[in-house]
Amino acid sequence: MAKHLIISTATELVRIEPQRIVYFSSDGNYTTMVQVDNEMRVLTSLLGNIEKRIASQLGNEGKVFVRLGKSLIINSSYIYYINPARQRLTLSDAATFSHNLTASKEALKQLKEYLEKEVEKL
Amino acid sequence: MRKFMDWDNIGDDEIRIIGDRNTKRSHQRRWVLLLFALLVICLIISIPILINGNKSNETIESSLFNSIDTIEYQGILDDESANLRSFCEIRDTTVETLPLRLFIPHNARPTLHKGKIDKSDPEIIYANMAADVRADNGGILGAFVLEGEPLAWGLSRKGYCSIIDDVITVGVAENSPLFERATEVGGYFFRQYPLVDNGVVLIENKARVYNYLRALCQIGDNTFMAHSLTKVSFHNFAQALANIGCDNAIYIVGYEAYGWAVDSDDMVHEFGTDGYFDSVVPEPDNLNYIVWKRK
Repeated sequence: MAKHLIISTATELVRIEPQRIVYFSSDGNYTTMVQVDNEMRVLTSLLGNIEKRIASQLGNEGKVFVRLGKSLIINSSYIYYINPARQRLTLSDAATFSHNLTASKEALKQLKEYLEKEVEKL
Repeated sequence: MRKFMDWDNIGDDEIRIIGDRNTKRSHQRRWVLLLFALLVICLIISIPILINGNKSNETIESSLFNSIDTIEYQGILDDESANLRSFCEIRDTTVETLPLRLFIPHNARPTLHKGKIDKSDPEIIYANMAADVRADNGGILGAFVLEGEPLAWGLSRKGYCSIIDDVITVGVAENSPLFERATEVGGYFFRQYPLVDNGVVLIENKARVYNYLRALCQIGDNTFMAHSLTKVSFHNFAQALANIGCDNAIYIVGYEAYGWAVDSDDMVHEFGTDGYFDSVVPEPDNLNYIVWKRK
């Protein structure tokens, strides 16, 4: 059975396969989770707590997620386009969804370098 | 032994591969830390100067700035019945990390005003734009009643405010009998986004925008206005209002909307941008305000 990420708070519980998650974005004290089916769910949890749960529950499989600055956690499987100069990041499966996000130039530059190094390792 | 990790300790210029525990810090980070250290040193040096320079303002500042932990919210809205002066009490507070400014009218009656507002009117102790005006045709968004005359009938927002015989009611309903009642007795009525409904956060506007937001709030029979002093989302703003004990709250026009309040020393406190209309776009005829006037 595939591993699930479980996010539980005092009032709710969300259980989802990591590959169904496109990204998390911070909204103050809340976090919005965007799914591959284009559903968006607001979670009453800080982005830092989500990151902690990913690390503790998914272990090595959690490496697919990248914390990008203060307000984003992205699923690197869906990185489709990075342009640090334009501060643009597109997450897409090139079929059913496409999300344009913005992040700092430096963070995107580092993300680009990270992906390039991952290719070299192969 | 497990190493402590602060999960929110990340800068906007950094990335972290979750599971790796290694933050890829930018080279600029060192400079930022150095700059921060310099700022701390400057602050330490300047604190004694600031303290001496501002001694006269100390009492005022300490009474204005309170944290949520030190305010009994049941007590802050008590009208001083012995004090017959009309003014708008201005209180700054923080809820979690959100700074709020509360405007609490004393010995004042609420009303609505449409059209150009007289900024020099000495009777007004608080004024802020109430219902939104459509950008396309200049019409008022949502039902609107002015001195018993219905000027708009829409239901674009479920929050409402009625003023009937000087009694102001804030609530949430698709159909409120107070609309008809306002038309019958020469009252007032407008609609806006709901924020808190019977103590529960209720967000109709799901726009993920952060801005300076304002609200018309009620705790029991006491009515006041709350302005966020930093940019905030609708949801976090509404949550903060619920946290301070608001029974009902609706949005009133925030952002750069111009308004003012008159405090107990008859000092005028302006907010928003004066002269936005006419300098950027012509002032709409239907621009409207919630106004508190001296009794």
